[in-house]
Amino acid sequence: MFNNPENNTASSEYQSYLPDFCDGDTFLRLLLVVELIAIVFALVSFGSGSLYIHIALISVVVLWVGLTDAAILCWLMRQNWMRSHLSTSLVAISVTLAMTLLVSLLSLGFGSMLLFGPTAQDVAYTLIRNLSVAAILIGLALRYFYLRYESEKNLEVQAQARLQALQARIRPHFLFNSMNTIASLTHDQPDLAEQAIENLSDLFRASLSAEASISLQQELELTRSYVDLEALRLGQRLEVNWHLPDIEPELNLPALTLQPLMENAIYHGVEPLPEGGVIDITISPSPQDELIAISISNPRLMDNTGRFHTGNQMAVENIRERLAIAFAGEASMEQIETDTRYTVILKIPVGEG
Amino acid sequence: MKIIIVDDEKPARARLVRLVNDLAVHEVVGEAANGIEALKLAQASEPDIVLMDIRMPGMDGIEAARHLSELEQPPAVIFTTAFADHALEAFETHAVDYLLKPGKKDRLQSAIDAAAKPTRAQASKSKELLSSLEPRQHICARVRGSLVLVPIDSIYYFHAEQKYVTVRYSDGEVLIEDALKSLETEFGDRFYRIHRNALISLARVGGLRSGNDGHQVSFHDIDETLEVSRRHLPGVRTIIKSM
Repeated sequence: MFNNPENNTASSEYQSYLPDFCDGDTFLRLLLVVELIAIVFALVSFGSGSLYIHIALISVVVLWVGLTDAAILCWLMRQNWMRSHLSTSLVAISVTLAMTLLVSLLSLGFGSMLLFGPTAQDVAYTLIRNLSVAAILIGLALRYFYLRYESEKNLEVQAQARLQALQARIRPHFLFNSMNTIASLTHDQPDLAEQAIENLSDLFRASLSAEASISLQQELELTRSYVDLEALRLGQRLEVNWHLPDIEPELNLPALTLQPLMENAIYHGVEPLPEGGVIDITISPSPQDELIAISISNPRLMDNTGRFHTGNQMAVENIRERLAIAFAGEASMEQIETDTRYTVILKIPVGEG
Repeated sequence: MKIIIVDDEKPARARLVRLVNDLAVHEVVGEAANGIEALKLAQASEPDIVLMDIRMPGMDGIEAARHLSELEQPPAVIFTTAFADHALEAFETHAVDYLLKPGKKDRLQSAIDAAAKPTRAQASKSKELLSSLEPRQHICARVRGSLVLVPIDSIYYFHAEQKYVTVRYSDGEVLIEDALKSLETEFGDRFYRIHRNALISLARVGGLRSGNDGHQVSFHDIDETLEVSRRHLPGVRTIIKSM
């Protein structure tokens, strides 16, 4: 989902509401459903004689219709015949009715050769009956596929919206403090003020952008822009040590994953200290399990009542959720607390995201 | 007007200094980076107005303002903050003035003008507000004219004697004028009433002894005991057992 966010917005590429009949799994499931329908027909129409033979005969006819129908729809899908909901529905209905007609005629012919000569009335009756049943079934099936398609689309839209809401969370305190810093620097140190505005713009661009996934390198740059801004404000109280590998790993992750963790580390670990504190950010690749570990650690402080600061759990939960959406549960995040340090460790699979 | 500027961020102080200087009728007599520095500076330079950031390390602006209000000549405090959160609604209803950062010169001008002639009603309302916000981290006592800050963590007990309350802490004793009742309300989660005249620190109480002189609590590190009244004995027992 993160790889091609355009997918949802592009209207030029129509996505059919029918399942992909060329897909093996779908085909097997279809086979099962069709056979169940055949058994239902057989049970309903069973009069006398052997039930198994009755089921087998009806199965041949129904499976014949269902499977050729699916095969033809698969082929037509590949030929790009289905360009809108309307054409998809018309194609599906006509193919089904055509196949029903064909198979009915064949079976009537087959029957007449072996056993009896059906009257014209029998032929008309059989055809009308089979076509009606096929029309009703294909109608129900299309309705089912359509509803399922709608609900899946809704879920995806919801997930997208939630993701964006999670991303666009910049602390107002940070914004106005930065503005105040810039207002101050504009006068005495215009160069620094200019830099600060550039950094702030980068952060806002990332936060407002629809791009859900960015490279680790870009995320580190954003985090650095953020740290530079805070350093202007906090001066010598803020010390950040970057422990990065010589070759930065190739890795994509949800935008604004590390920056909020750094923000937490500064807000809860450094700002409350009159003398300031040290933050360590470490990236360590571990090739054997193909996970990259990113850790951010800050001083751990007591709050007013002698309990430890808990930090902003909302930001942490927010990131956990985004990682879960982006890596389908393969990324992890843990928080480690010692008496003096608080550390968050992210483990992210290489080459995904 | 003599003004001091308190903010933990250097650029924020620099900007306020410049704005005040631009107004040209007031004088910045000092800058401080947190509440504790602000109290020391206020004693030394006796300002008329303090421009006080709210969120600061060590001692925040609200607590510093409470201690300032205990001075003989308390300065008017104008709070400065970057973001208008819900706490500021309380400020408005209590006529406590504040500036939003980055502040404008006009707004600073009118805040200073208003602070220059505070009404008695405003002063008492603002004191009431400040004391309602959060428990202090320090007790502030005046010893021979200068302020002594006693961290709450370092206190063993409060003991009331006639007009004053003795604060016994790790570095000695000071006298304050607060009522024991209000100390109990403010620090109720860290101190416990053992007698009509005493509150003890839950973190520093050592044990309970019974003898001819009735029931006494002892403390870690210091060789002093305080009497427990019969009325409070069951509560004290439960608390000491649960430790």
